[in-house]
Amino acid sequence: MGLYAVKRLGAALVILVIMSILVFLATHALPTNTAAMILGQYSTPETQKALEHKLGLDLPLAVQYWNWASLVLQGDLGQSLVMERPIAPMLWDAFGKSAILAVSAMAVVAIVGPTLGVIAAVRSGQWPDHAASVFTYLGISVPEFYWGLVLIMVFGGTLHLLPTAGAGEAGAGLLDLIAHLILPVITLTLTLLAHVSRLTRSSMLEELQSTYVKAARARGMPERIVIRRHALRNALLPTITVLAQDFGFLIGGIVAVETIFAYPGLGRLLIHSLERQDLPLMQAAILVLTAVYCLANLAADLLYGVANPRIRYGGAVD
Amino acid sequence: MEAPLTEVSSPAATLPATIGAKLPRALRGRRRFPPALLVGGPIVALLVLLAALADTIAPYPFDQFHIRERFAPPSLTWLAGTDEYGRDVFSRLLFGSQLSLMLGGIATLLSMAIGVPLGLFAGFRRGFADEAIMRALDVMMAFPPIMLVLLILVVTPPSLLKTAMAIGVLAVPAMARVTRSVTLDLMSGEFIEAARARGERLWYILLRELLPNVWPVLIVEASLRMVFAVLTGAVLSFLGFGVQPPAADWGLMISNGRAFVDTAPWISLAPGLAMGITVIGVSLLGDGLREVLDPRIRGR
Repeated sequence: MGLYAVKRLGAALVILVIMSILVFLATHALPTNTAAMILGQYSTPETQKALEHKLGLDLPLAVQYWNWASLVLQGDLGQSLVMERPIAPMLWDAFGKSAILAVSAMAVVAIVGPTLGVIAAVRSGQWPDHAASVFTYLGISVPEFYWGLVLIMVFGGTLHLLPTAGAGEAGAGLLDLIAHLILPVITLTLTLLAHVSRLTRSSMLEELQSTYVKAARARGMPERIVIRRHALRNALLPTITVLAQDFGFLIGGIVAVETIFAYPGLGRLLIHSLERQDLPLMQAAILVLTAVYCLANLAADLLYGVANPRIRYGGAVD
Repeated sequence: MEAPLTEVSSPAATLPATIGAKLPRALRGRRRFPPALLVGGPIVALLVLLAALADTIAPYPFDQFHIRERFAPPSLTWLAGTDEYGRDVFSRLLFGSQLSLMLGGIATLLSMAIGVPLGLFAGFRRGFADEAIMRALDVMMAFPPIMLVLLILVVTPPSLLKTAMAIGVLAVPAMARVTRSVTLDLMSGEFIEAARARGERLWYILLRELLPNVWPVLIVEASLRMVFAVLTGAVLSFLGFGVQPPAADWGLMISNGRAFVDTAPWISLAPGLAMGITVIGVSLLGDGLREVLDPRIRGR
């Protein structure tokens, strides 16, 4: 287990390095001329050349990458070209906002998803099961930003119940923050809930038909205990992995959801940087999002090992 | 060289080989069709038909302005209302179905064209080739999917084909994995032994012996990939990195209607509904086909 953890951590680091190279190369393939962008209307070929030299943009790509990467490792993410401010503080602020959103959504999914799935499995073929599958199909049938739009229409436009944009004023209190979170969190969870509940349902159904559950029932154990103590524990194992995979999905979803709710998080910052072709900001945002994704996958794998003592991380795990 | 013929394959391992009973045969023998197939099939058929006939049945061109009829609510003249330029939303929906099916189709075909041979080869060869291919795909899957697509789309000017290709490449690992796992199951089948004993060449075994037995599973996977492609394409259009205006792309239409949700909700709601029906139709079709084709489920 210890060795496995070290190996997985190593693999995650390699992936981060590869991604940083990819990000670096991709952003350098952009048609944007950084020097021309900084100089704006005062740009002449001579001043461009001089600035490129000053910024090290005329060095070989490998050297440029090395310089950039070593600065990033020291926590220096550089300056935003468009906003002309250091990136790090603004990035971490946005990161915090996104983290609040993601963690709230994940918490809702982790609690409600398996619950729905278990109810559907235990009441298989009856109305709760059918209701859950209708809900599932609705959840996965349109991209999440569409539900966001519908929620905005209903709760913002028609009912005027909840704020539909932003993350609230700083210092407006916890209630204000929560009010701003409700709609984005619901939007983010709909698709994931469908996914998680569906998976829990099928693995729960499988466990309920297993011999050990039959044996427990044959021994006269109350159904409640059979479900809770026996079936549920085993049925939840695959759910853990899926929850972690969904975290990656969540990162994708967050970009669209933050855009539609004008929520000032990392996703919106990324889209902003892509639209304005703000290279340093783009690099930093993608790098941070990828790192989070890698860590989530890593955590999932390790968590799975802890939760499932049958797994021995020795040979190839397929 | 003599191939070992002594290995006895277990009944469970030979089972998947029977999926080779092709789709029509699997359907003919049935007294009852799964309801998912009966609902999903017609929906998809209707969609394909509408997309194919869009040019003939659409009342208006997708980009024709009717300045005096801006924001007209749904009526007999404007079946799904008009948008902020007075364009007929219904006509745009019809043309949009072409884009969605094209995007889904191209992405899915591309992921199959790359993923299936990789999976077949990895599953057949095992050993080093398998390890190398699967680890490379692992690396690909380790990146947040949307980031890869955004990177590709940002670097070069946007177009439908490129969006489709980016999404297709993204789905390659999933396709290869499914193909590989089915191939591994099939490898112990006697028909593979027989082909080896006949001294057939690698590509003959892969394409003529293995592939026909793998494809029922691939159909199901393809329906999932198609759904994924349509939804991802919509997100990309919504973010402004996919299909560009004035194309009648559904994701783009939803995005454009955002500003008017309070006054003219149909501009966004109609394409969302169309997309929902498409995705549900394709998913149901996939679920239904799986019930018909997958022997593990068929038995139940």
